[in-house]
Amino acid sequence: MSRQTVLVLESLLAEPAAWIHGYDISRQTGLKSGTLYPILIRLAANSLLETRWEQPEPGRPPRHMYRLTPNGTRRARSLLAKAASRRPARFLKEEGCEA
Amino acid sequence: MIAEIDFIQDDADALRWTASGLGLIVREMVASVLRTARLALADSWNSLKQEAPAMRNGRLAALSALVLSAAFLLTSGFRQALSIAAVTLTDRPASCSGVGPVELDRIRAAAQERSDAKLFAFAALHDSRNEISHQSAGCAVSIDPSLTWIYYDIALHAEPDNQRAEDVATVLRWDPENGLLYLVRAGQLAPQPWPVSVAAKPNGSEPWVQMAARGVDSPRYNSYQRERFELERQIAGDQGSVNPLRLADAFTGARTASSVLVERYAEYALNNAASPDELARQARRIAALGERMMACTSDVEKWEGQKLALKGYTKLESISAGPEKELIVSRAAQLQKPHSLMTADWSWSWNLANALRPSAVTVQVGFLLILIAILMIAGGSAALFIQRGRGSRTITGLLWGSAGTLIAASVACYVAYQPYTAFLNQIMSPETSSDTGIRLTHIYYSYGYPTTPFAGFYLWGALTLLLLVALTAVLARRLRRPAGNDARVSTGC
Repeated sequence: MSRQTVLVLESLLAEPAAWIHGYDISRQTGLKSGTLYPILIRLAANSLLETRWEQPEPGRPPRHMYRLTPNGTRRARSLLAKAASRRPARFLKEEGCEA
Repeated sequence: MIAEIDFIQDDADALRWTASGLGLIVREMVASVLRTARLALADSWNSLKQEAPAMRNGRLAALSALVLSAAFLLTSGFRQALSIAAVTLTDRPASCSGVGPVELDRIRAAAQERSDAKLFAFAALHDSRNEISHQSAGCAVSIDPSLTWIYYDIALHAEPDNQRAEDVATVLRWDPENGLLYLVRAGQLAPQPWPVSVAAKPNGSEPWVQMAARGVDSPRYNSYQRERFELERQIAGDQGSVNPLRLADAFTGARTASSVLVERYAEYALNNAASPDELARQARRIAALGERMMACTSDVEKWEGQKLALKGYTKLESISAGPEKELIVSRAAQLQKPHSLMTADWSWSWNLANALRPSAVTVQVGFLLILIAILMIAGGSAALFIQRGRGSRTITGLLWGSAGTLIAASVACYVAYQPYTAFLNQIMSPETSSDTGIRLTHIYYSYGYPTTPFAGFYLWGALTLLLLVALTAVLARRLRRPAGNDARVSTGC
């Protein structure tokens, strides 16, 4: 699992029951749209995410919204736990946090 | 993703969002194209594996030959060989232009941008549009007056006659010691129609005779060939691409005054001398003009000069004495030998052109064979397509034959053009003198002289005939086949 996917899952897990826009996930994770949307599409294709169109405001286009499915929430927690266990070895080195 | 842009408040953020989204779209497009290509290749490979080995090998051979020939195209020599063969076999222009109006407009725009007098001069010399050519010439001369000679070249093919006279007058004002310009003016002053009128015995008061006299007495004779060559060479070098035929054709055609007019004037001057002293003076004038003309680069000027000088020396032989007579007799004897100067000094470039004739023919034949091979491959592929991939021995043979022809013709073209590549490098080298460079351009006459109006007809006629024969053969086979099938059906087998 890529570091970007971990970031997206962490963001979605913050409020698993809430619907969230792509731009909000982007702001929380710092990922650009070109990186974020392939991840969201892949997660939705694996049924880890459910999507819906927001009711459009007058004069504005409808936006796509995302949230974790129950299965997705379970999988996300499990994946994040695995990622966290590897973090000291891999991510801390990446983030320059080694002693 | 697109809808989100409407909800992003910060402009820079919105721009980053859009740019990143566009990057994603482009990435996906490229990936999609690569996926499609990979699938198509895999599909083709599977089809090939299912074909009979002979047919498969035939198709692979044709494809390899096409790729190999395309690889030859990466070399500038091969591209040049094909383009020269194509031009000389179809329509080699007789004029010295050969530059299209679009390219000329581009050159003029570049000249304007850089205030480049030589680029303006180049555009003026190659533009067949009279008005635009003169505008360019005006710009060139206003930036660099030493380029005024270009009006002489423009006058060679300028229309109408009064424009031509004006152009020559412009050069004359700039270069008043050039006898050639007076002789050209004399031709313009001679009553029309001429040379019939010039052939009549003049009495000396005619304006053209007086103008011709000034031409003969002028200390210099220059048809500006060297200046033209240096300009052409420099522009070609700056542009990084040389069109050798354009360079060669720039020196084709008469650049000198009418030989009839000059000879009539010489006869008039030599036959109307009132005394031996006057005759000697006239003979020296004519011989001196002949020697000045012989110092020029073009063969026409050298030939005409040789004839004039001989006329003058022959008259002088009878009336001179002492050491001067010995010198005159010796020089006249040298000039009298047929082709003496040609073999000594001038003819090497023509000998070179003759020696290169087999190479030129190889390049031209190679070009035709390449065309025919490509047509054959296209025909074979079309037949395969029509027959939905079901090959036959004929198609296999056609593909193998055309592949072999294509490779052999490409190699032959490339090798045969190598001497031209070497000579062109020498022509373009600044270390090569303009006289040698001009004479080296004669090698392109090995492809035949310009103005071959029927060559294109023969070429395309031959190719059309070939295609008709091929079509007839295919149709004949297709018409015969049902009869054979019926016969088999009727046997009840």
